[in-house]
Amino acid sequence: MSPNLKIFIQIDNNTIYEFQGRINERIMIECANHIEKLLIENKVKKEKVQNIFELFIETVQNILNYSYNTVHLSDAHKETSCYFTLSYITNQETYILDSCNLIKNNQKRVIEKKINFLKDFNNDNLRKLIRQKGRSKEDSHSNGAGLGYIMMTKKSSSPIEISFIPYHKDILIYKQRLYI
Amino acid sequence: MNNIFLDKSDNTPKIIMDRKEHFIEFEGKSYPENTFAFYRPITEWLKGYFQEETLVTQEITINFKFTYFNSATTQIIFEILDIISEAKPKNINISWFYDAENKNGLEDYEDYSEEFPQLNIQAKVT
Repeated sequence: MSPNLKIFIQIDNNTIYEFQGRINERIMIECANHIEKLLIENKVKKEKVQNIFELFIETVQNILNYSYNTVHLSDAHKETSCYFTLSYITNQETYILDSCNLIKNNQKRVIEKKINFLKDFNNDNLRKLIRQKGRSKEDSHSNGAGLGYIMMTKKSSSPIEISFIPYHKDILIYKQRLYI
Repeated sequence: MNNIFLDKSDNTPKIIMDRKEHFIEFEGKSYPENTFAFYRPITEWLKGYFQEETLVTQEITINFKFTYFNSATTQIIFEILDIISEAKPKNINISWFYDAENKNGLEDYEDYSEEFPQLNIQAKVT
């Protein structure tokens, strides 16, 4: 996989936005703001813009926190490589946020367990779970309370799709698809 | 105890914590890279503020005007409301501002207000 990040918005196979490079907090903010601006200029509904923005941020922050090849630039700042596309299916009025990054093999089970646990939750149950997790100190760690996948599931219009591809020894390529 | 005034940035909200005016406000986007480290001074300030007994009867205003917040901030908001709730202030006005065009904002309000009914959080449309 290229060490660079690539982000582009694709509408019916036509790329309208593309970015390539390593990602860190500053670049994530630039990309998020750029995507938000493009969507607003294209008269996308506010709620949809908000959901795309939020899912983009959650995805990138997960990647920065859990990628195999994340480097710590300082105590508070991280940088890694990944790949993104944001595409649009016109006849379904649905956006697709694809991402892939490198993870350690032992992360696979953790991610699968979270996704499988959430797959049958409806919106009301997800809200209850957010409240429960938000107030509970269980599953708490330095990066959050395990709420990221719950929020992503709640704001996606279809179940999260994931796959894992062997890359090198105990390293996997983690691919994730969100429908918005 | 010093006041806290933070300007908003691309990924952090404007924060006002004015002890003299008993006015606290969060406004803007909240998705700092290290959310817990960013909010630690804020939660510590709130703990100190609400430990003062005179505040039990003082009129206090708290406004949440987030336009977007990440999942880690969700947990921080619960922590802030827990701190307030434990202090049992008698005269506090908490408002949750949200965009009527975004149902998630209303759902967030419903979740926080139902979780903390004793705080009587008010919904306000921006």
